[in-house]
Amino acid sequence: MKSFQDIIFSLQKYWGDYGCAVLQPYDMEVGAGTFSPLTFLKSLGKKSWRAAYVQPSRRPADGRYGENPNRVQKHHQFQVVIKPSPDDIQDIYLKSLEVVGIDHKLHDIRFVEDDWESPTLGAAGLGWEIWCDGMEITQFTYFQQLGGIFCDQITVELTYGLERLAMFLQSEDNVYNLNWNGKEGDGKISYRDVCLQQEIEFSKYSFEYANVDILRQHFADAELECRKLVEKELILPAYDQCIKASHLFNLMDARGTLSVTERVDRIARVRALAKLCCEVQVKNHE
Amino acid sequence: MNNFLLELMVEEIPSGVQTEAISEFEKLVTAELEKCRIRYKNSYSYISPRRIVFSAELNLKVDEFTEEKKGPQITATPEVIERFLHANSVSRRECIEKEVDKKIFLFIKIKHKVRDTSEVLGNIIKNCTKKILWNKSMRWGNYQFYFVRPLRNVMAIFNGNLLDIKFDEINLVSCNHTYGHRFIAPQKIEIANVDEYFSKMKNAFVILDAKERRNVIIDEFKNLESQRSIFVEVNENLLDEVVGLVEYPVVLLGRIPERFMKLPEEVITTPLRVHQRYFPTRIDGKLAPYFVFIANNVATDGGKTIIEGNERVLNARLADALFFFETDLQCSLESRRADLRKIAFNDKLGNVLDRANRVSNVCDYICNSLEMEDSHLVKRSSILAKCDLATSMVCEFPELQGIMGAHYARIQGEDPAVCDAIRCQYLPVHEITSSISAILSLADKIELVTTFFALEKKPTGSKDPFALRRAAIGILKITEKFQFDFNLKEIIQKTFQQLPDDLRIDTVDCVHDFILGRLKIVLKEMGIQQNILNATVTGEDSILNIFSKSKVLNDFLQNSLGEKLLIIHKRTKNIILLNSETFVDEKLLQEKEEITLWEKIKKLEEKFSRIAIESESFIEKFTQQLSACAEMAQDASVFFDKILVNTDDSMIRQNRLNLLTRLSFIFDTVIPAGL
Repeated sequence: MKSFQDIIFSLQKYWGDYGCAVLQPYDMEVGAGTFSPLTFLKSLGKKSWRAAYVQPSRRPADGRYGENPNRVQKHHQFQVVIKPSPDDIQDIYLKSLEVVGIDHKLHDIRFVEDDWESPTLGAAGLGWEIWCDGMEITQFTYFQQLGGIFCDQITVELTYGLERLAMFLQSEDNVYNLNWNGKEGDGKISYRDVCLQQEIEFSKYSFEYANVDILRQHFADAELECRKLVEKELILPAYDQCIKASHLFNLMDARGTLSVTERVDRIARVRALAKLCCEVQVKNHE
Repeated sequence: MNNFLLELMVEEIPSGVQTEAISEFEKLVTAELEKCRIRYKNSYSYISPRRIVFSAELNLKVDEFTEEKKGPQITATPEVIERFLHANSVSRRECIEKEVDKKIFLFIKIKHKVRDTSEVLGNIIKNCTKKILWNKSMRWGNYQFYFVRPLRNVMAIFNGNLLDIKFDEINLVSCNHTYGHRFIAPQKIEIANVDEYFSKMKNAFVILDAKERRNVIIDEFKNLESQRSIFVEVNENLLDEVVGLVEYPVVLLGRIPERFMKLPEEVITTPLRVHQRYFPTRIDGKLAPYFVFIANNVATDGGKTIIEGNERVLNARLADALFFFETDLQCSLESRRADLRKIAFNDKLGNVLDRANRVSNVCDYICNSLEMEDSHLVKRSSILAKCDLATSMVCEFPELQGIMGAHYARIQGEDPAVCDAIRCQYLPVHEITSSISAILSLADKIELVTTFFALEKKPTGSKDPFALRRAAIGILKITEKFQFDFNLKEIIQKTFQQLPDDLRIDTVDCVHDFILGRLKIVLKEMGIQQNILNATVTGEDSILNIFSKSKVLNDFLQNSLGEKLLIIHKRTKNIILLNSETFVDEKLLQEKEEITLWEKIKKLEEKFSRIAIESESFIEKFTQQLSACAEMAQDASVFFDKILVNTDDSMIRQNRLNLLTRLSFIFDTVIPAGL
């Protein structure tokens, strides 16, 4: 049986050997590994890039107070980005599944069409959800557009859902029962030990206690700061503010206080920030 | 025997676009072959998730032919003409002049010599490959090339040899090998000729023909059905999708744990079908605790692991559903109304509860207008209609809106008619069977169209994000199907009055015109002639009467009696022009024909009043009055043949005009202006 951390080690080793820089998670609240500048900004322009990293990803609306065995507000993605996408990337990816312990002679692995779109990032790509015996374990995307800019070189992004993958490999129906460190008995550390408290408390925060007025103010501040920093061409600090605005939007959304039109409006505002950052990045780093 | 074979290997092509793409590709290639004068026969093509295949028997030589190429007009500037001559390496003397549409153009004759097919075939294939129109295409790597998904291998064999095709843009050159099934037979397979290809692919677990994959699945379904005494519920769209997801279908059967079987059927079948692409099964019409699915792999353990995995995924989804179902049942459906307030609808128009209340009021207006007997049931339906939007089941599975409301209402003991109305509100009109359900659906649609028009969000061009056109057509179809005779404009007016007053003031007229515009389209689709619907669709009549009139007139005017009536009606109008006097002085009637006509007119007028009193419906009245007029047409025709209206005697002339005016006014009541 592969522990949660063993899966990460295997993937890191595999993609590190392939030639990716194995990096650490981005130190901000992001909704998906794609938001990290190590994916998003690095995918612009002509320079080649290969990286792999775990990205804890926050989706406040998915919080279930630790009560749902399948859903959490903070999950872990293993993110691989390669630019330009290699010609044999599908085979390379399938080998990574063997490495974590999915024997394709026993399983049914499928590439099911998925058009990926992130309205907040003004980003779009084509690819698939990878299903293993009916469970989606990876998103496989060829980026086509980021921040409203059509990509020059095409980046392939592979996003493994680590919880799903681990539940699959450990034949476990409840995420909290996952074995994190691979030990049994007293030495065992489970997903429950690591994550349950944060699931309960952050669910309460996102659904009940987050102060919407403060969130709105923070959003406005981040927006203002981002625009100022873009003018100074400080792209990474500016982009951090864009990420912040996006997370604040997700919190407001989870609180259920946004009407349909305000929702659309705020998404457009975050997208505008992402676009600004991308434009300067492309201009300065070609 | 076919001598040409092409196989394009692509990373998994989305299932939904495969069928159209392959038929387009075959058309493109054969059209190009014809254009290039390459004779072909026995062409066919196949598509699988990873392959686009074309084969045909081609002539080895291209036919000799002369092409006439059109150049500029002879009056064009010398530079233009010179450019044309230069581009085609010809002199002015070699050109001929030819007239096209009364203008004279230069033409040149280009003689194409006999060539080997192999010289041109590569380019044809390459061009056609690039010309396939995908609804979404993409780039990959650092290549400037667009295709549905990355193109990875091109195998092209012509007359036993490798046909050279270079896709320089993606660094790919054609070869004479392919690969088998991604997991079962991934090895390289050399192909020498067309026949060998099919047998070798079959051995490599690739079924190229989508029809054959479909049949394999259906046969397997039948086997399972007889083995397990179950019935596999086949949804054709889902089957088509699955056929495009696999190269070697393997049908497997999974179990649904008994504890989930108490859930309403839709709660089980929705995740099954929509989320997992599984097929539900039935025993004696009831949902059975099995599901059937199609894998793309012959597993070494006979599929045991695959089945277990799929069962686990489904169980997780159903466990969620069961939890939602049980939670939802802890509160009454009606108590959810308070929660509807928390769901925003629109900044100006408030929340979903506000909307639900408006729909409920519109139901009242319609019931009053129709003098509906069961209006209390309509009212109850409208109070509960939107409540399920606040249940956790519908939050999780939005496609179950209406359906869950109906289940929860049934479990809580609501009247079956109310449950049906809740279920039917989002369904297409042909699935609505009771008038209670029809009124709720009608009210919902009228409210929807009116509010969005008031917010200036009416459809423009191809954009109709709130599906208002469909809603308008729904309004019309319900009206016709249930024979609801009501004043639509008045209902729209009352709906609009419920909205805040800072919205668009001419909304009522706009909505009414919009719906009448849709009405023309609906009538046209029913086969009503354009001139008839142009005349019948007016703001004066009720929607139901317009439907009735249009249908009766359309049938009537197609027979000779109808045609005759229309001719007489026009002729009468042309004579009377602006005369509006209708007093007929019997003493001034001289001729036999005019006396007869006058007698008949009087009788017709009596008949009209009698029909009006005795008819039970508008359509009956209209039909009878129309045929009474048609009978008159014969007498009027005799009158016109024998009597000169414009005599010198002005008194007699006026009297005859009045006689005809009287007739014309009767016709006007059944024949719409403009016909």
